[in-house]
Amino acid sequence: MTFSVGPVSDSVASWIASFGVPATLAEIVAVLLVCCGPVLGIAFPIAGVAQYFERKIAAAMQRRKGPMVGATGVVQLVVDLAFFWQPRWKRQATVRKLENAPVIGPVLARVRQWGLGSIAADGVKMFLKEDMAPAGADKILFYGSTYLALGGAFLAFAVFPFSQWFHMGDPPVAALYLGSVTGLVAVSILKAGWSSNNKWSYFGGIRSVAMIVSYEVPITLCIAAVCMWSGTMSLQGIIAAQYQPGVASFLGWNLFQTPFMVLIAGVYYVAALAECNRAPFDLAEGESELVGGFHTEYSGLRWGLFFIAEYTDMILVGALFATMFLGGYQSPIGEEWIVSLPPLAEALVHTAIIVVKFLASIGLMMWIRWTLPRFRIDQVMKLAWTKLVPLALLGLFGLAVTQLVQAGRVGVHEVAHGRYLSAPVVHMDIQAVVVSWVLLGGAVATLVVLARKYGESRPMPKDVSDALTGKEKTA
Amino acid sequence: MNIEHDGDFITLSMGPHHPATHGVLRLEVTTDGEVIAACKPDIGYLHRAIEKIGENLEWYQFVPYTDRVDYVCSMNSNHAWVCAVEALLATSEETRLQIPERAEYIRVLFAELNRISSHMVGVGSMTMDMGAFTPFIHALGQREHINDIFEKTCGARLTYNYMCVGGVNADLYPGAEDEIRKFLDGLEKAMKDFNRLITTNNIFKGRLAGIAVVSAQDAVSYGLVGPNLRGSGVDFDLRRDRPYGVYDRFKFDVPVGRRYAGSKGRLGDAYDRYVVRLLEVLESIKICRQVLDQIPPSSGKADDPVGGWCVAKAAQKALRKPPVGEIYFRCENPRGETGYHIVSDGTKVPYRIKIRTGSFCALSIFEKLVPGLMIADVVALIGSFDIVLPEVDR
Amino acid sequence: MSFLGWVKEIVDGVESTAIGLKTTTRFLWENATDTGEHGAAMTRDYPVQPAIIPDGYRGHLFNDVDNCTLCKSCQRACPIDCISMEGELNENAKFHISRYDIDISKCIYCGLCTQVCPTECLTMTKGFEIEPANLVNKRGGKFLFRMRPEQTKVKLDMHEVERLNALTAADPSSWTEDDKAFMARVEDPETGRFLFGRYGMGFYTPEEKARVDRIRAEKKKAKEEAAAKAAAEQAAANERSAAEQAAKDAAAKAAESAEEGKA
Repeated sequence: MTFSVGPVSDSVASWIASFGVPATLAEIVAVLLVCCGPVLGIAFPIAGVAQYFERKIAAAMQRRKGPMVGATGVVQLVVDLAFFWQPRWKRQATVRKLENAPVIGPVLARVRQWGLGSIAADGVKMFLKEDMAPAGADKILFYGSTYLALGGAFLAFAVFPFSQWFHMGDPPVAALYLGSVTGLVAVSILKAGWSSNNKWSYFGGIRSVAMIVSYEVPITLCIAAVCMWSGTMSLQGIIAAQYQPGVASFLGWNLFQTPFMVLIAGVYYVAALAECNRAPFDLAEGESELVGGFHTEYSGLRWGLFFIAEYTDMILVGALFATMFLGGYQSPIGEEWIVSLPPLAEALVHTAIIVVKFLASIGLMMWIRWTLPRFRIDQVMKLAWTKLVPLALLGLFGLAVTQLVQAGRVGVHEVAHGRYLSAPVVHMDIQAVVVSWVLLGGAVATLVVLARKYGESRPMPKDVSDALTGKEKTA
Repeated sequence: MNIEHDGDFITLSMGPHHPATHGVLRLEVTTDGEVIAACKPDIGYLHRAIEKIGENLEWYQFVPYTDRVDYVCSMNSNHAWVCAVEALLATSEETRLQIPERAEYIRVLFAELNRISSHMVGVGSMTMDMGAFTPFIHALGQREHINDIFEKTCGARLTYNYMCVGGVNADLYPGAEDEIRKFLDGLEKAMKDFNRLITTNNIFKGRLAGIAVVSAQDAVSYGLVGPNLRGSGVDFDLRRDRPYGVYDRFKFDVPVGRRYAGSKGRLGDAYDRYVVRLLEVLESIKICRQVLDQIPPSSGKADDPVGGWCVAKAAQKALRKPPVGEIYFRCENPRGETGYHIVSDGTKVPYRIKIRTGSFCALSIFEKLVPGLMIADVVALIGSFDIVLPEVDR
Repeated sequence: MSFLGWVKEIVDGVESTAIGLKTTTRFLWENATDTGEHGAAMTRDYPVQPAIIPDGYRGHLFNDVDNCTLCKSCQRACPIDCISMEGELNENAKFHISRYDIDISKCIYCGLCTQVCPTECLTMTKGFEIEPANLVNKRGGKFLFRMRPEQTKVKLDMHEVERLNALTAADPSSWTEDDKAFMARVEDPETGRFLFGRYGMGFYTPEEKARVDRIRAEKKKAKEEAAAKAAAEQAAANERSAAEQAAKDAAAKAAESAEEGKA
């Protein structure tokens, strides 16, 4: 019985077997490594340290310096343990000496200046805090919802391809699967809010569910549109369908195909922001309204699990956005040179590319979070049902029409390697792309101009808006 | 509707330790889902009996306590108190004080600077309650500059104890005027960035437009004062209409609410009050510039430049035996009129002090405004009235 | 809502979001490159970079007891009654201050007491770090606030404080006899605490000392000038009144003599 999931796992298995491990065991270990390695080795650590970068980015936007925790505490702890027989003042003096030492001193100062200690300090703090449930809480739900939150986020990664070979599975209905497991987050937040025996938590849970249920609709429409365009619901298939031979391989990405795809991508990103409860949709937490929202009563590591689940969700959203619109793990400057590498090297390069793509997405989310204020719940609903759903339907309809018009002119390319063969390649020819961009761009520009002129019957008084934002006065 | 017997309502205790209640306000809120059915403000968590303390202190000793009546605008509180005491002393020819011209100008300058810093805190914390953190920090950044100027002048960053009966405690430090001018220029630029970032933001406007509408009639009958009153379109400002100090020498506009949020908004909504505060900051900048243009030069003496009770013998003498009588003096503070009602029995200790503050009256209209709003709106509403709780409880 | 209104809402939303993102990016850029009107970070890396404290800062109170005349002006001016003091006769039968207490936990740093001080001996220093961890010296010894009256018996000058810091940083085995005697003088052997207060009755920094001296000299000079001026005015007034009196007398005399002459 073999468990092979491709050439990478085969080569890893043979490498492990060369140490004298039985072949079957080696294969199982290799498959586990290949499947779970990227998730546990990349997604989880990034979720852990992303909060550090978020704090630094926020600080930079706000003329602050951000976390500046040094490693002195850790050094002191180590010295205390190593020289426990010495009096306290002597151990403290040792640390002072270390801080002034030639090599270690500057390193410690730099660690402090960059605040690298905060990553460790936050983790240690979470582990050391008491784990408690409030009186009257539904203990099973209260404790269980934390696992559900993290589970929902990580289950989605089961079908996510980091490269042609780094993935746990590639079911032909991956898109459906994703739609269902991301809903688990809503369930966990509802359970957390409900079981906390706290009215603020309860409000947070209810808000979150109301919001996520609404936003599932535009998200599903967007995923459906992409699946329709690519002709497959498998994520590997969607990526393969965006393959474009040659150096300018980014032209094959869905985002650059038609303006409708840009619309779909925009709607998807906004809805996905709401799905992972990030600002401006962080109503479930809403620290200035609901104190802490659904995690008000959680402490220590359980709160940390929610925290990591949030960041894992962000990674997932970014990764899916990249998969659906930005060619997944494909590089923008030609694919042939990567797929001609040995399988392991190819897999690593592809993983690095997708990591860069979803890190950019996380950066955008942080950027948005530290810029925009929060919505109100009715406005969030209104946004979903009166803006996003019609726009997503429009995009879906437009894509369908484009596909109909283009039916005879879909090019089929030679596919270089491996799984790219498994999907048909859907590309528009260059004239059609130009025509659609010009036509639709013109239509949108006209609409924008008209709306600016006639859209609002009563704008802000001109002199006031001039005084506030400092535009030049028009006589 | 009979709330108590309906099972669908939840009673929420919003505060006293709630992030958006600007201190220790407690709102007992009865909600039907997100929508609020009733609201009862509960105050008194910060009561320090400042008025009663004042009856046991000498006139000049009460100035540090006025810092603590409203710690966001201590200068204005100081100004109101010393003006009230000076007005009391002026009722008798023997005790009337001659306040140095320069001291009067410095008082106006610092009162306006503190108005700017107070409004920055007000609008900044409002944006933070709306979930936008960056504008809040930038607003507080401007306040830091003002605090630096105050710190260099009087040695404290929050509780200034700067103005005193008969003048001010210290002259401006050398180079202060240039620094203030530079700060005002920087503030104008920073305000534009602030407004681009948050005031004109669609989400922010949408959150505030049309909620917590106070009609002009209501504003007057509930006793709202200051920007809250002007936000409803009532054109009244003590600095212009009943000038005190040297305010009658400066030209400035009084911004009033004009339905700034456009078609979605209404006259007197939260956005109007917010924009009125921003416009008042711009007017304060104008006043500060005029003060700097008109201020008489320093006498150059180290000892007695600008009056002050401990150096002006007249003030010391007058405060030992003030005239018998009572007086009510009101000043336009950032949170509206602050009035000091003093009763003097001719001793060196006031017989009775009563303080009238703007936040207290603003709080009284909550019970009427809040029902029908959502929980998130309550946060916006508290921010739009710019409540400071020590001023409510005193 | 009209269709154009719907479009306008979307356009507004996208536009204002874009403006906001642009603004925050500029903040980020200016902060990262340390340029522009917003400049660098407004916060300071406080324990590493020292806080900027201007002259005339209202920090911890410090009474220079050598100049204190025990007039109790400060005690009367204090609005919260946190100052108390006692005097006694010393061995030379001279009255001097034996206890001067400022309850730092009550003090509101209003500065009224320093305004009324006639000898300028009570001043507000720039000290503001009240947290005990800041008072830990290299050995881990603590410069505590004065806990008991006897702890104020020792008064150190700046050099002695430096010597104490150097000694406590060094290994106690390397102390000389003189050092040991010095340490025995300033340290309470039972509790391990130092027998002086860091703030309440501590020492001036040299700059602080110079500043207070300068202020004192200025005030003295101003007072002398004022006194001289007053004296001169008084003298002038006296002269004037004397002259007036003389003139009056002369006039009266003249009138008298005229009357006499008439008569």
